[in-house]
Amino acid sequence: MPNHITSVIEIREGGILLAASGSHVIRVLGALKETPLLALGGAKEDMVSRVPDSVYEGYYNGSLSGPQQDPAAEPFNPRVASLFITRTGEPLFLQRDPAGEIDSEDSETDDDAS
Amino acid sequence: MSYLDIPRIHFSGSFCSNPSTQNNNKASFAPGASGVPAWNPMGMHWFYLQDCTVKTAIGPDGNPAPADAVVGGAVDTTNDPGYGRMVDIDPDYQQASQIWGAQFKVSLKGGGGEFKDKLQTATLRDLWLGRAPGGFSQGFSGVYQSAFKEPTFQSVSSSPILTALSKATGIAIKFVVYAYDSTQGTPKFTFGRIVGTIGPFGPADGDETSGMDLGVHFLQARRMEDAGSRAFGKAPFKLNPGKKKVTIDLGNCIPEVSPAGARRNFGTMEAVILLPSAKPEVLGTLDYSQAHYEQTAGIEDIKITDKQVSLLKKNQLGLRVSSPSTSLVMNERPMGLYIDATEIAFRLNSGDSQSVTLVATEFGVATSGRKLDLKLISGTPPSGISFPSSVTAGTGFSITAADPGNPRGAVDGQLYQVGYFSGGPAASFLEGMLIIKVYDPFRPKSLDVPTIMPILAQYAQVYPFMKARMDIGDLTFVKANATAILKSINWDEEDPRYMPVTRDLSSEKKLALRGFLLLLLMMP
Repeated sequence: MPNHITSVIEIREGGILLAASGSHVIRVLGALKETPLLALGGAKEDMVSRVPDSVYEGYYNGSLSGPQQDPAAEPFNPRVASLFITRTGEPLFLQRDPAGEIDSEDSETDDDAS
Repeated sequence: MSYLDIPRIHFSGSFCSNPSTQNNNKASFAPGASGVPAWNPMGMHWFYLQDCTVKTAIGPDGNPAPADAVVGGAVDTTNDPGYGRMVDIDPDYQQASQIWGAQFKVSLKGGGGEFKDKLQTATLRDLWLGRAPGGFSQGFSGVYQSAFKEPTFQSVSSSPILTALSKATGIAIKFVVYAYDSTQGTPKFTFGRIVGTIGPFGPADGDETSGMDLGVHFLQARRMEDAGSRAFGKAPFKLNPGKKKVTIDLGNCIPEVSPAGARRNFGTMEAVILLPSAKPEVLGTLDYSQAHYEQTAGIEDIKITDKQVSLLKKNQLGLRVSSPSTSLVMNERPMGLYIDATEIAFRLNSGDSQSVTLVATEFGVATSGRKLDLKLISGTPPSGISFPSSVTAGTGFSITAADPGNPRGAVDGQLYQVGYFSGGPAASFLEGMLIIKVYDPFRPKSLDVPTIMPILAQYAQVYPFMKARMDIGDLTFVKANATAILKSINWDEEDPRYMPVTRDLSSEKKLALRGFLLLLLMMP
């Protein structure tokens, strides 16, 4: 089945192109569950990224990459930068998979973007 | 008009910021507490520039001006009549550090001509934790944007750029601070790197949010950002249709291998217009190397065609890289939506009101009638602050403070965080936060020693550097120096000599202190 991963901003403001007929599975990052609005605060020295440096390292050097980066596609899809770090620190990539070739992962993760 | 317009100059160098960290923790405020000193308890809250020079300039004609007399000139803080002050608004919110009272001076190469003015108080924005590995503090990066409202120019006729800037309504400045060293004992302790851009400040031109008074902190520009990874920082940009160019600010968005070191290798970086039914329209390549960055502060002009101007007015701009694979790493939101506040950090006394405007733009044009929601995210009791639950973008509204009821004991007042949202008050739609410190009322029946001295004693306690030199928590000292202390309190808050340097004294406490000091002075 065609399956796609998008973000709440992408689907709300731009929508996504469902380039296949039938049912689609669309996972919207940043909108799955109600999440508490978290206050920011405290000392800068206590601020840490949601993921360890090694995750970014992998993204920058290519060892962590998304399932779909197709520069020949018209249009270039996804039309937003594709790496997304969930609130729980999981790196996920937005994707368009009209042929349903990419294995779907468990979508029970709390995917809030905050 | 902003630093993304012309003429403009780019500078780089170092900065010093040495805030005391004694007041970072609320435990330090309790009477007699030794507190939590953290990494710089003896800090003086100074902010100043060091070894900053103008590296490049763009002339009034839009072309590089390497021969202009300002290129190679110094960009200084004069530290006159005192060092600029770096302070946080509250121990419960330290991500909006502000610079108060810093006077800047830009000199021609070799001296002989200059302009100078006091920086309008600037608040840290776009704090990015992942610019370089290591976290706090060397891996962090952030932006200050402000203006000089009354610059004085002297003998700048040999510089066409400064001459042109002298005719502008004001001067805009934006600088990026990064690679800050907070490790005691190192040679660069309390120093970091800085790049900045100075250009014209003035009313918006035709393609921006024309007609709105947006103050000095709202950047009239479009924005690119990544999808939510924070692997890249944010990149404002401005389309200038008249001059057929787009000016992209990469100052706070390219990750580094090490703090202030080489950039990550992304191969070729291109600015592209993302089109709904065609391949991206390539506008040009961008030099994101570290050496180039220190020359241009990351501000890059790309000349574009009439067709590209038309496309970019209605479509997203993105950054595409070729390595490690061809991919889009940043882009404008699908509808070009950008929402921001004219200012985010406020100090209010009970009964005060503060006007705020939230601005929404789509592809750089102000949207009319867009409703935005507001919701209190933190701070109790809620009755300490009031504001509308829904506002219209572009229309000012008031935040009003009331007695918060001293909920934090030794720490005055309460810190409130108010979120603004683009589609209902839910985390998914959070666009930003307003940070409001509300002071407790202070209306003592008498201005006696037991009532007033704890105010001064607490200040001395959370500012150990000053206490080591002059203990204003000591009544004998206060009596002997009442005139000087009164003078310090009476300086305008924007003046670097103002006391307390932390700017965290309510107007009612200040009034009581004045009365107390006057009484001391009148006593035989």
